[in-house]
Amino acid sequence: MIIGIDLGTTNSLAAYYTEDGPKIIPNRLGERLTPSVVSIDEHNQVYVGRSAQERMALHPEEGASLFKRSMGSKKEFHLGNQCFSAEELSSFVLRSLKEDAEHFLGQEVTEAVISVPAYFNDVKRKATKRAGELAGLKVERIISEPTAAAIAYGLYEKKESSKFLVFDLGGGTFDVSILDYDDDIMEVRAVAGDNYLGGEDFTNLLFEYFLEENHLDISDLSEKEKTYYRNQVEKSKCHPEEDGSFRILATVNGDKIETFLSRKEFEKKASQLFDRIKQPVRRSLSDAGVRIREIDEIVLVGGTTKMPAVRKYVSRLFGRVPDTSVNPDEAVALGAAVQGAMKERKESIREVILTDVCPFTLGVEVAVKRENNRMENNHFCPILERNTVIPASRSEKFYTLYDHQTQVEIHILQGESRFASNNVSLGTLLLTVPDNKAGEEEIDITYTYDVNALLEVEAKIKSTGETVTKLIKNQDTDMTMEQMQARMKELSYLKIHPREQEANKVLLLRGERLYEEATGELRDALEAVTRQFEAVLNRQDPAKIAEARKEYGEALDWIEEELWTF
Amino acid sequence: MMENCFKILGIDATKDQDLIRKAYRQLLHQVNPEDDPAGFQNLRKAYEEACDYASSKEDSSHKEKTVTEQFIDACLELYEDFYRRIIVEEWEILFESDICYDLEMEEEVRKAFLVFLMEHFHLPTKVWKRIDHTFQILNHRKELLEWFPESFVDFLFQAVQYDSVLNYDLFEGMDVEEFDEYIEIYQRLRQFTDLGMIEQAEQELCNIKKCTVYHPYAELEEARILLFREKKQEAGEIFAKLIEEYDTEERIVCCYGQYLQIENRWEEAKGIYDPLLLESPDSIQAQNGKAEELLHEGDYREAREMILDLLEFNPQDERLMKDLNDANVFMIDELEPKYKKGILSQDECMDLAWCYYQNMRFEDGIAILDSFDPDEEHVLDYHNLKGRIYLTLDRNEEALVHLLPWLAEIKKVIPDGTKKTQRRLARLGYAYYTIGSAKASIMLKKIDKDRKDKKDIEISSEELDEIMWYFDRAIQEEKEEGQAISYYHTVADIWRQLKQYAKVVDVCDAILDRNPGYYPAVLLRQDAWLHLGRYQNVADDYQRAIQLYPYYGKPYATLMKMYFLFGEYDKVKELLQITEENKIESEELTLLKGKWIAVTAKSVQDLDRALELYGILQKKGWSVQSDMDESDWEQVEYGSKMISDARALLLCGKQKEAFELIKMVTNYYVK
Repeated sequence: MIIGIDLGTTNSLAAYYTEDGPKIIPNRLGERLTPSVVSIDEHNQVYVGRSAQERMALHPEEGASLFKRSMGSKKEFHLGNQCFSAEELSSFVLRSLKEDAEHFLGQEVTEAVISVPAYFNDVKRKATKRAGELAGLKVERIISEPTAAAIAYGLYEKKESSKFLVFDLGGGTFDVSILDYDDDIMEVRAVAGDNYLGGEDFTNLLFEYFLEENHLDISDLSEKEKTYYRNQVEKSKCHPEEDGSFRILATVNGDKIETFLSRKEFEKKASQLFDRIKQPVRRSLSDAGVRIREIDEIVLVGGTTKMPAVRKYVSRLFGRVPDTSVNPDEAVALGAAVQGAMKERKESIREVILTDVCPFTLGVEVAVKRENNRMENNHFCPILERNTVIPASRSEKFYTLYDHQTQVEIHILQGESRFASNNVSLGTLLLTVPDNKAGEEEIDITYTYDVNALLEVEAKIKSTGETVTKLIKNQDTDMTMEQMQARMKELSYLKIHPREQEANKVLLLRGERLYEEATGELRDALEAVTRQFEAVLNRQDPAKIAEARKEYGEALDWIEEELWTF
Repeated sequence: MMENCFKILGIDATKDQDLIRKAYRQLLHQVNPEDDPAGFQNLRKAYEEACDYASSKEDSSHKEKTVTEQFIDACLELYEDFYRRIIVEEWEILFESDICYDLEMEEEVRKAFLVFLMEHFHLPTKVWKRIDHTFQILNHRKELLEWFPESFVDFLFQAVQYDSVLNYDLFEGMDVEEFDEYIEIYQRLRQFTDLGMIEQAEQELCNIKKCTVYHPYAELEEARILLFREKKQEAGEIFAKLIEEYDTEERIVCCYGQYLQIENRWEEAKGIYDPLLLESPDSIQAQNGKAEELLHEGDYREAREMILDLLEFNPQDERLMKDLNDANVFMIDELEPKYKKGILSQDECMDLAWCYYQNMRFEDGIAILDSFDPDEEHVLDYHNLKGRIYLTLDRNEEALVHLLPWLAEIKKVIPDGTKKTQRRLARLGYAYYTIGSAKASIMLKKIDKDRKDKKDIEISSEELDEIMWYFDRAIQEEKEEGQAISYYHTVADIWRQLKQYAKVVDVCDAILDRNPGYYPAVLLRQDAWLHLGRYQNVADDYQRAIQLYPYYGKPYATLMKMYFLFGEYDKVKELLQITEENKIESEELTLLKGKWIAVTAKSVQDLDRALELYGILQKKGWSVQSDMDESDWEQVEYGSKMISDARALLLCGKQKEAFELIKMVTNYYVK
């Protein structure tokens, strides 16, 4: 069975396809969302999700979150004394989701469709694919998140024809996609986005405000304090007051303090973030050649769209109330599961044909002849324009610049600036051409984009007929097959915390965290219930443990509430 | 090809988009991109071709105007009506229209409007500011550079940031066709008068008088030209006539005031600035004039305060410096006798010492400062002044003894909102700068000495790092943009003296990034490019320099040196002609001309002409005022000797040897 996975910045989840449509796979705690957090203890035990999140509060230096933002980069995350890349950390999350799915479905799961932001570039897409492979999954397809959401939405609504604008503001990335669904054909018309805009930026905003209001200097705070304050801020962000204001509760230097931010003030502070939303929306509309009034549905996807301030801004931007009938947290995973089922040609599924687009313009660096025959370097010549329907293939002809030029370097670039240096370099191809006069040697460059939005470049020297091909790789982070297998082996020594003990562990970690936050009588009470629970755990009677777990959980809820009663 | 695409789609050629789309979608079921990528690509290509065919128009002249085009038409209509064009509110109405805010349209409209500005730019500053407000110029340099050439973006920045030379509200006249031409003539006229190029100015004045449009500033220029021609009476009459009508117009009042003051007609000048200051109290020119008036009436303490306040924001203003000088003379007269009697307070001692310093009586200043130990209140100021004096006297080691404690004292100052602390704090950047300068001078002197002693030149990278650290801090801390740029300028010059030309380029790039119109940076960079052998850049910066200001010899000279390197004597000749036509003179140009005559010489007479030019320079001798470095001046002696020797050889009939020798004159740069 091919499952669908939404690998998110803050939360991840998996879904599968049933006769009644796609369904979310609950994790080991019976929850639908698994936080994208990884933590490793001194015995090389790996924690993923809630338990990792709780451990982060206690041992921030042993955990990592928000790593999706660094996907495909050289950034190294240090967890305890070990070192991981973003894709390796992601592979732990995927492994945990895979285990949960296998347990839930009662069968081995080896194939998956994984979603990525539409605006993820080639490098990030490949890194995501590798993360899946490191987790022991064959990645059948990399699908764009908004496309997945639109599929889920389209099938859910069972409408015959409709134009969507999917507004996907997740934890760390922002995407806008315009899609056209008609007669079982789902066409992506245009995508645009910002790889560095998401809910985390709003959290940062509140966090900075909190520090400023309480005269705290970030450089004076320990890792633990930072994590604690950030968690409190995050909580307040996810649960704003009815009127849209925020109350941040935290103990600062021993005092319980409530920091207040009105909705108006917040909107003012966030105005720059909101401004950054506008540009991609505008670009996607103009690229698709669609007017706002022609859009039938505006679909909100991504947890951050649950924020009232964001909803309000979106309503104002489009002059109408957006649709939220599919849970914004789940739409992507559901769509990925549908895609997986279509891949398998499940009988119960209506066949939907999907055409996607490439999110960026791809081209090469060229020199341009200016007045007085002078050559100006650093120009960008597009070959495959952004929002070209893929799979696609485009060619351009180029010529040698100088007499006796025998080496031609093809600099492959991605981006929208007319200056090469402002765009992202994807790699280079070096050609040797016959010695000849300037402009006499012709080179055909062909860019081919496959359905997974992965790029292949081919250069052909006309005079010799020689052809050089290159599948674009990221020189910095790419691994050979052997390296990959070696790393997989290394990672497999790191065991994920046993699933059956997960629920108990989460509670104990939570108890430990609350113990640090609580004082006096509350602390004593906490100590007592924790001892009690540990005693039951030692007796290893599953029925008793389940009962005790319930009681202990309730006790912790009560203590946490007491902690914040003034 | 077109037919082929319809064949693939399985329909007859049509312009009906819906039909094409339907055919495409139907076929899509057979070539799902998932299973048949090649088949899909083929179909997609056919579909896109068919769509292109369907949307192509046979006759584009009939098409209706888009909203953007309509908007630009409205702008054009407004622009063409001169008296409406200069009213901000008129533009505001246009800019308020929905399409400037429409999510889908705003970018297209913005681009179209900026293109419109390329040919319609004679607008008052207040309109430019409003344009910036709606179309976002200042904050989006990078974005604009994606669309427009750099020179246009620079122009937009200038237009928004700086006041236009004309007060557009004072125009009179009905001929709408004439205004733009008038403005352009005026700009040239003004530039020529400012530069003292009176003949050219008179020519433009003649042109402007032919226009039916009237603006009082033209008469102002006429009066200024008359003053150059010593026709004070006539100039005075024009001024008097103008002031009657425009008694609160800044430029007119200030020009007239200055005229009266120069003519010593103080009685008439009395109070002339008051109505203007009442209306616009921030006018710098008027404040300056007023200060001079106070000075004349003997109220020099108040005048001095005003001047110091003004200098705070215009630290390099020559007129203010002169006024300060005058005020100081009075102050010194008052304080000196008391000092000699020994009855001055520390406060007054400091005042007197400052006056000495500002009036360049450095030794007197040091004498006073040596005569007392500052108390806590005066210690900061004391070190400040003493450090500066030593620095000016190029006694750098002694300067550092005071500059370092000065910096330390500034760091201790706690802001309390008073003018005094504010001024002290505002000097933080300058304090870093002076220390950097003192240390740099010490280093450069040592290098110079080693060079003269023919020793190996060693530059300690630690020392250099420390110096650059001080300059970096200075630039970071300096609030006054002009000052910060001048610090950069010093840094660039230090790199030049160290012959690290790549660094010179970097620093000049940084300067031009902040202020694209900073002329000296262009010159420094052009020279650096020459040393780096980046000849295309030398030519580019020549263009840039003469666009900014065409009447200075340096950019021509640098380009000529490059042409000498390549033996392109025709190009040198062209450039020499341009400089002569524009009456641009400098010692370096004289030298280059001498060189050119020598190199292209056909006869002994030609060499004599060259030697004549060398002779002029030899007689003058090198001085600090020269536009050449002392080391470059060697060429005068060296070249002159070569040419004399060549001349002797030529007279002996040894033509070949003679011309060989002359070649060496030009090869001087290829060291």
